[in-house]
Amino acid sequence: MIAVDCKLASVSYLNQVILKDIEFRLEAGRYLGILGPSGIGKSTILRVISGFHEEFEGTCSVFGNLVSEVDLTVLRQGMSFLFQKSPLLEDMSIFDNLMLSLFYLPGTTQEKSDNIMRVLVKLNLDHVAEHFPDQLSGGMRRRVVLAATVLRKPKLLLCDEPFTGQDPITKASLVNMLSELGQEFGFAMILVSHDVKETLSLCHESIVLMEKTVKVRGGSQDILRSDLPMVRAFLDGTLHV
Amino acid sequence: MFNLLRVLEQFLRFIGCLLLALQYGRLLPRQMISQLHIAGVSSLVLICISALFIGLVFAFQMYIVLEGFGSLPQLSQVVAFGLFRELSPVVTGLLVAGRVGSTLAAELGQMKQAEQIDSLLMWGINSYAYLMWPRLLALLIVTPILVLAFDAISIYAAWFYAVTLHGMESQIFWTPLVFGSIYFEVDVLYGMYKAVFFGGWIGVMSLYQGAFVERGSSGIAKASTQAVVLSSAGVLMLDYVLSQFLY
Repeated sequence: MIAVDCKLASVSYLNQVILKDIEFRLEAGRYLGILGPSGIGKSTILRVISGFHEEFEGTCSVFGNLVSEVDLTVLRQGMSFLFQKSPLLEDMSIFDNLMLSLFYLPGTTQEKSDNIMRVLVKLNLDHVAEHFPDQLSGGMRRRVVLAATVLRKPKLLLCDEPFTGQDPITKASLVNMLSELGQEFGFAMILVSHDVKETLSLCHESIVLMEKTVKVRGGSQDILRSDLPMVRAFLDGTLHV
Repeated sequence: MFNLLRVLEQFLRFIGCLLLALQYGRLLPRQMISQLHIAGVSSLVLICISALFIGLVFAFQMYIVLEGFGSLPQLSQVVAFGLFRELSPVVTGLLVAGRVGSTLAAELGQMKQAEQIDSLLMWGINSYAYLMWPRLLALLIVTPILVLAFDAISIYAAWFYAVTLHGMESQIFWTPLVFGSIYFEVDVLYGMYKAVFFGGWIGVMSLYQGAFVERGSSGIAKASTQAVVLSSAGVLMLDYVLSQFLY
């Protein structure tokens, strides 16, 4: 089953074309990495898929529903978005934030509460359930947001720079968590990042964006073997934007 | 001109979304309590201090004028007339615009930039119902109450000036106000009516500025400033329009 099918002739931001000829297809349960330097428009692709960005030409469908035509509430029901920043509401405890994320999903309060505690235990966060977001470290907040995204049992998970600002241990732990959670919940994932090592180790397939378009695509070996000078410079960390 | 039309279209869409969000009202009560506290309780001290000194100054000015005409017994009526009809709702409106309007715009703007509003949308939660209506309703409820508090404290401040500092009989101060004027209750009520409109205006303008904040920290500063400027100017304009209709 195809989870995401994108054929974007162009994507614009404030009437400026930032991406062109972006095509990819993601099967259910598979992971796709989108790599590229900062500011190239990687996150905008996720915003197109989730219906937040409407300035594009072409088509994008999620589980057969065209993003430009389907009711966005319906579109987002089977989808979770791990945002780059911490979207937790500061005036609520972690537990209440997670309860809020399940507000419109079916189930009793007790069932939702049990589910939350189960995921918090799995992510080793059960001891912070009653804490407020500003009492947590950056890494813990990331994990809480991850908990909020998987709690909704999504069929598609969109991850926007999940490793940014994290130390190597936290990065490795996030990679493991995403891998384990994917196996448990069976979701497809699109991971946007400029962390090459983590993305390639996690994703079945990746694309590298350069000069507004896709320069390389394939498995981790295909990407690493690329001999395009710009891509090589990006992979080696010597690219100057 | 094109920009103005675009902003107008954006504003009308914002109002449309706000009205459509009323159907998701079941999220409101939980948020209302904290918003009533933020809009009301946190503004009360500022309102009380302002009312105290405005009441004293107004009584001081009127005392000099009325003493010259030998009309000191009318002091309370004159002071109440000016305060309840105009000064109290307008000053309260301006203070609320500065205190609450700027906070609302900055808070919403920060939430927008932190992707919290997008996150709520991903969770299927209407941000207009969950974030904006509780704040708007809190302002609609709290502003008239703050005007009432302003009225009470400012008239007592005037009483303090006349009776305690100048030795006027307390009965002479209160009698014309309570029994001598049929407009006393009407003036208080009209001031509160005005306050409802002021609260609504401040809420809508501040939330709009926060919801359409530009990127970066300067975006939040700009939204906050714009919220105060537009709210304050709107309060003064609305005051004139409402005064024409109400009196």
